[in-house]
Amino acid sequence: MTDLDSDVVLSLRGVRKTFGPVVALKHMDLTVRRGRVHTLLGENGAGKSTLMKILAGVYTPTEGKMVLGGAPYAPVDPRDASDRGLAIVFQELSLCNNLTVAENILATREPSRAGFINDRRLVEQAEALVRELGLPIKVRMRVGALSIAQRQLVEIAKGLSHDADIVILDEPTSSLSDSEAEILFRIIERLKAAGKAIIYISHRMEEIMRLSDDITVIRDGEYVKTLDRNETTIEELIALMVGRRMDELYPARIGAPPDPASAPVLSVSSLTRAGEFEDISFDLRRGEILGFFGLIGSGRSEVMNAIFGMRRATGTVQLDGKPVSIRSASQAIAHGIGFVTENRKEEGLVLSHAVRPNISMAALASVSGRAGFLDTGRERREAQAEVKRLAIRTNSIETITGTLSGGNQQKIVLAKWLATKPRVLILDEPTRGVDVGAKFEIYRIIRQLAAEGTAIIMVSSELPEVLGLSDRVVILSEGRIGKIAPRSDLTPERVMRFATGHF
Amino acid sequence: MPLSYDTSSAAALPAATSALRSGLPRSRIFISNEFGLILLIVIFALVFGTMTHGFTSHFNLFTLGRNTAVNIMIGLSMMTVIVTGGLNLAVGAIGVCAAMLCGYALQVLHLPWPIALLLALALGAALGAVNGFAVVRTGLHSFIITLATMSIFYGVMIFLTRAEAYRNIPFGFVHFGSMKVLGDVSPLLLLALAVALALAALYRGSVLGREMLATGARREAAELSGIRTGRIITLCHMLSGALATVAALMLVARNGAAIPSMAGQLGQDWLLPAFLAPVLGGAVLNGGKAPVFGTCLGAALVSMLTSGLLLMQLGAFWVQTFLGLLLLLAMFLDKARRSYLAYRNLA
Repeated sequence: MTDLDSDVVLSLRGVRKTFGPVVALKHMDLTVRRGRVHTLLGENGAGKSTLMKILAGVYTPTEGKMVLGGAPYAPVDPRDASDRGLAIVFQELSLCNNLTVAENILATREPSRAGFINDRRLVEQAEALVRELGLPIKVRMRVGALSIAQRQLVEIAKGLSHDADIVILDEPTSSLSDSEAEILFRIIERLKAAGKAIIYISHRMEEIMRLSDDITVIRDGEYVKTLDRNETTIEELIALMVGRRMDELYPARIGAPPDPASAPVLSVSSLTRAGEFEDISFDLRRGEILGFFGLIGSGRSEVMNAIFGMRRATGTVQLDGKPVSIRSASQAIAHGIGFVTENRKEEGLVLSHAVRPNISMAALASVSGRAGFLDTGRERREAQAEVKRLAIRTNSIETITGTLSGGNQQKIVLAKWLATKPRVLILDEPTRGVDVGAKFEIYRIIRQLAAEGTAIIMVSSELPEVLGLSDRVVILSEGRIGKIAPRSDLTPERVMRFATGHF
Repeated sequence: MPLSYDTSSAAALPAATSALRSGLPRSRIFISNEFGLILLIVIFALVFGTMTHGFTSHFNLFTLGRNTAVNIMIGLSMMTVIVTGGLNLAVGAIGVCAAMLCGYALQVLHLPWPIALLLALALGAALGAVNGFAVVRTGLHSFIITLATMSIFYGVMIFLTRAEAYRNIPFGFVHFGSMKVLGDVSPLLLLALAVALALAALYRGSVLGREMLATGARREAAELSGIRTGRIITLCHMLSGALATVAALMLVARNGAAIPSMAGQLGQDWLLPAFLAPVLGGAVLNGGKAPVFGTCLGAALVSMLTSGLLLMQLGAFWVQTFLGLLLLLAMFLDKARRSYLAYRNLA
């Protein structure tokens, strides 16, 4: 705390927020200085989002003092917060899918005359901003037509379109691939140089270590410690965050990797879909974890969708040496394939329903008794068994899924697929938006499944995760296979070279 | 005990807040729709019982039960489509079309009445299937589809029947509408309750019901879990058509005739009870929830209010106005209840 006090733009002292009997934020201190990136680190449910919402003017703190730019800060609503110079980029996408990129970026501030929007100027302004930020996005596109990653970039552009002193980024890279994250990092460096303060929230330790100047750790709604980036280590941060030491993030393989000469469970050859991917061929063996890495737009998820029957494609798919034609999810499931999609809240779960029906949703046939009626006793036992096996933290199997944390929700998606007893399990971004503790547990589950003989495809945009878990890695580059190699032959640099096509 | 397996009142349970855990189960019952409805029914029964002449008469209780039976069927018919996150504006039109076929089969074809009933049910389900198929194939909201089919079905029916009633209904069938069992109870009410029980079993305990709820709450997730959601949505509409037919056949039994105008122009007289019963009962217009028991209570409340207000010599127009206000009020209360639950849920 040797910096001059005049550098402090925002300070919080003893901020507390309760909802009736529930304490969402126990005690929070924070000192944010201009020209620095201040990272907030904490597991999901630690109180970060509550803090964000307090800063954004969504919630009013129950107790505590906030000072912004030397004056007391008590925003009454998000508009007020934005007027005081706060820009917030939310993790949950807040875009209107039916509007264009330009309309979204300049929403509520459209250039207009006499109530009519000046379309030309709207596009010009948005284009200028997008160009300045260096984003590869066409502002006339409808947001609904963009990929999740592109939408995230639009979200960032929208947040930065306000002229703000403090920029809050809530997990901005959770759906970006490394190359798009680089664009964001460059933007952050520029904001820093311009003297803005940045409050950054992320789960990715590598990028936190790279970007941050100060790091504040929160645990269980309480301020733990603020550290200087140069005086700490990833290990120390994780230990502070989870309150225990985590020796190894990626659990070691159990047993020997599968014999490359053994017969594959799944064999894909020349899978092609015009405009999305071309000539995709690979084998997958019992007990193998096959990593799938590629940048956004490389066709990773599209390939998996095709294998699962959600998309038509030419080429052949063989299971245990027999060609199969899979034209719907129900056929894929009947063939013993499971698919944890990247979009957990929309495609993975019915958030408004309880844990039990979510777990049995893909395996209803296996818990049905006579005449199409469910054997609810058995359903309950199996749901309970999965909850125990995957250590899902929930009050009961009758708890509504939407009230659980991201990590526990993701485990329920896994439980749903495990209930179908799959031979082949496809995991698309299995740890997106999940905190470190839950990540570690999910990795352990993946390892354990492989050890039990499940053949696993793990699609991920997180390179450390792919290299940390996979036996072999398929690297996609613009819809084609750039390289298939055993993990031992790969380094992060080599993977990136194949993924970008520069080798 | 609500009969739907997904009770929104249970949605209040947060994951990790032990402070709430101890306090909720009790308050959960008090903010449930079913509790509120029973309370309202008791209050209005007392009000009408003391303020009007004849509310508790044998005759009135009998007709009240019979009207409740019809309204339960109408409400459940709408509920089965609301479960999918859709609407069925054609409940009345489908019901009347099926009832007219029944009348035709009895009067013109001289078929035995059980066969005529089956024919009517088949037509109702088939017209529902047309709705479902159109909704799934076009991807349009069921509001538009059923608004169109309501006019089409009704128009074709008027053309075919020349808007004439079939009055030659066999006594064996009509008798159901006028007989009493267990004192003053109409067998139609027992039939409605039996159908409700069957539906409750469908949603609570069957694979198909579970698939309907999952499809309604989150279609993408259901599809990816191997549920053929297109087929499920069509089935929900067929079920709706069949239930609307049961409601219309009850009216045929009561009136002793199949009359083209028995549900008003285009069958629109049914729309208010069709929405009121499930919405009062706790159905979520976004789908995924099937409050069978709540819908029955909602239908009972609507029937009771209609009967009581008419006995209080209020004009039929005022009854309509009152029911319209009730629908709005129910929606407001539901919204308030849900934001309260969401608020308690923050942690």
